[in-house]
Amino acid sequence: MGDTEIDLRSLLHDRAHDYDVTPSLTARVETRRKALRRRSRALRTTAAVAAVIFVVTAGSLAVQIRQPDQDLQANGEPAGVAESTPSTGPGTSVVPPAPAAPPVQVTFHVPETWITDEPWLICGHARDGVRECVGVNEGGVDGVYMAWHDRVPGEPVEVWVEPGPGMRGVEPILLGTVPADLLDTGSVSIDIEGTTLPPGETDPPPTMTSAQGTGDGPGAGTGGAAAQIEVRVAKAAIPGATQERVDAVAFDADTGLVRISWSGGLPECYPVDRVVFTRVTPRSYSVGVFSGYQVEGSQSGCKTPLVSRETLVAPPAGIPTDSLVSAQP
Amino acid sequence: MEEGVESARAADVSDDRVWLQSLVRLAGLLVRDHHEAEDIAAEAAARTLDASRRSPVTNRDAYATRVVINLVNSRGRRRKVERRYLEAQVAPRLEDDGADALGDNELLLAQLYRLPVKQRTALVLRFYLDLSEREAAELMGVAVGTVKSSCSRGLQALRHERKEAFDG
Repeated sequence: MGDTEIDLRSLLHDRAHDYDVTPSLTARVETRRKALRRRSRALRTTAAVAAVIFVVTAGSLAVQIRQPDQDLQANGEPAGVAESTPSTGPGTSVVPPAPAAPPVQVTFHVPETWITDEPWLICGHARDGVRECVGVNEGGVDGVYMAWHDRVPGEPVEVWVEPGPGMRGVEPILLGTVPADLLDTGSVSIDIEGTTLPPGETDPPPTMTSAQGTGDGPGAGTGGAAAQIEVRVAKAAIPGATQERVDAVAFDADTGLVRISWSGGLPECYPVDRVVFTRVTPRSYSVGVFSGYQVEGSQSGCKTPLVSRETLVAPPAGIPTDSLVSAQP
Repeated sequence: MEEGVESARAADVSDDRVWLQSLVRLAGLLVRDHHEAEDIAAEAAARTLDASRRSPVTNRDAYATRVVINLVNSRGRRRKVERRYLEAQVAPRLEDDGADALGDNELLLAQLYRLPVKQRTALVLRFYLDLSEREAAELMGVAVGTVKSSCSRGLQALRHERKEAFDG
C-alpha cells in the first residue's frame, strides 16, 4: 500500500470526527419524514383527482382537461376537448379580499425541446396580476416545481410561457387555465406537450454602469474589491429552520436570475418575506427589498426565480458574472 | 417493566444518534460542508425510515449510504452554478495559497475535493468505510471495474498533484 493510500485512510478517519451531529438533527429528520409523507399523500391525491394536459401547438393552443369521471374514447383520449383562444396578456380583475390560502404545489413536466439555453419562464397568473414564475430549464427530468402563493381559493390560475430576462422578439403564450377545483386540492401535476417554442433573441449578459449610491452597511469598505451582491434572508421566514446560513448566492447569466441556497434549513421551498440585495463595493446601499419570493432549499431541487435581471445591480465592467456571488450568514 | 421500556427507548435514541452520526460523517467527507452534510444526512435518514415504513429494509446502513451517495450526485448535477462558487471557496487552487502555506493533510484534503465526485466517492467508500470494491460498486451503482479505475485514477491524481506541489 502506497504512502498516499495510507495518508488518505488516516486523514479520512481523522477528519470524519469534524462532522459531529448537532442536537437539532434528529428533529429535522422527523420534520423531513413528515414532509415526505405529506408529499406522498399529495401525489396520490393528484393522481386520483385529475390529469391536466396542456397541448401547445405552434400557432394555436388547445387545453385538454381530463377528469376521472369523464368518458374516454377508445383510443384513450378524452371525449371532450376544450379549446381556448390565446389572449394578449394577463387580465386584471377586481376581487374582494380573501384569506390567504396555503401555496399550491405545482409540478410542470415540459417537453424536452423546451430545455434550451433560452431563458423561457413558466408563469402562473393569479388574482390582480400576482405572478409567479420559474425557468423552464430548472427541473430537468424531475419536472419544474413551484409553489403558487397569494391565490384566492376558488379562483383559477392562468399559465403562461413568457420570455425571460433579456429575450427579445417573442411574445408570451397563454398555455391555458388551471381550474380552481384542481388548484383547491393543493397539488397539481401538469404535463405540457407540444411543439417547440418559437426562437427568440437573447441579450448578452448585462454589462455595468458605474457604482452609485452612498451609505454605510455590512461589507462597506474603501477598497476596490470585486463587486458582490449580499443577500440576507429573514430568519423568521424559514419555518423550522435551525441555522439559517446562506451557503451560496449565484447569479445565473443564462437566466438572469439569482438563486440562493442555504444549509441548516429544511430542504423544501419556503417563502421568504424579505430578500435584500445590497451592493457592497465600494460602498453599500440597498438595492431593493423583494417580498413573497421563494428561495431554494439545498436538497429539494426546488428552484424559483427570485428576481429578474432588471432589478439586479449589474457588475462593473470587467468583473465576470460568476464572481457576483456572496454569502451572508 | 417501565424501566425496561425506558432503557430500550434510550438505547434506540442512542442507536439513532450513532447512525445519524455515521451518515453526517460520510456526507461530510463527500461534500466537506458541515451544514450541507447534515442536510444530506437528514434527508437520507428520513428517506430510509420512510422506506422502512412502507416495506422492510434489510440493510438500513447500506440503504442510507446509497441515498447519501445519490443525494451527493444529485446535488452535483443540480447545483452547477452554486457548486462552482463553493468549490472556489472551499478548495482553493494550490497556486492561490501555495503548497507551503498548507499542511500536508490540508493539501491532501484540498486535492481530494478537486477530484471528480465519482473518484472521491470511490476513495471515501474504500478508505473511510473500508468497503470492498464489490461493496463499493453496489452502493455506487456501478461496475466493480469502475470502482477500481476510479480509485486508481483518484490516487494517481493525488500523487501527481502532491508531487507537483512540492517539486514545483
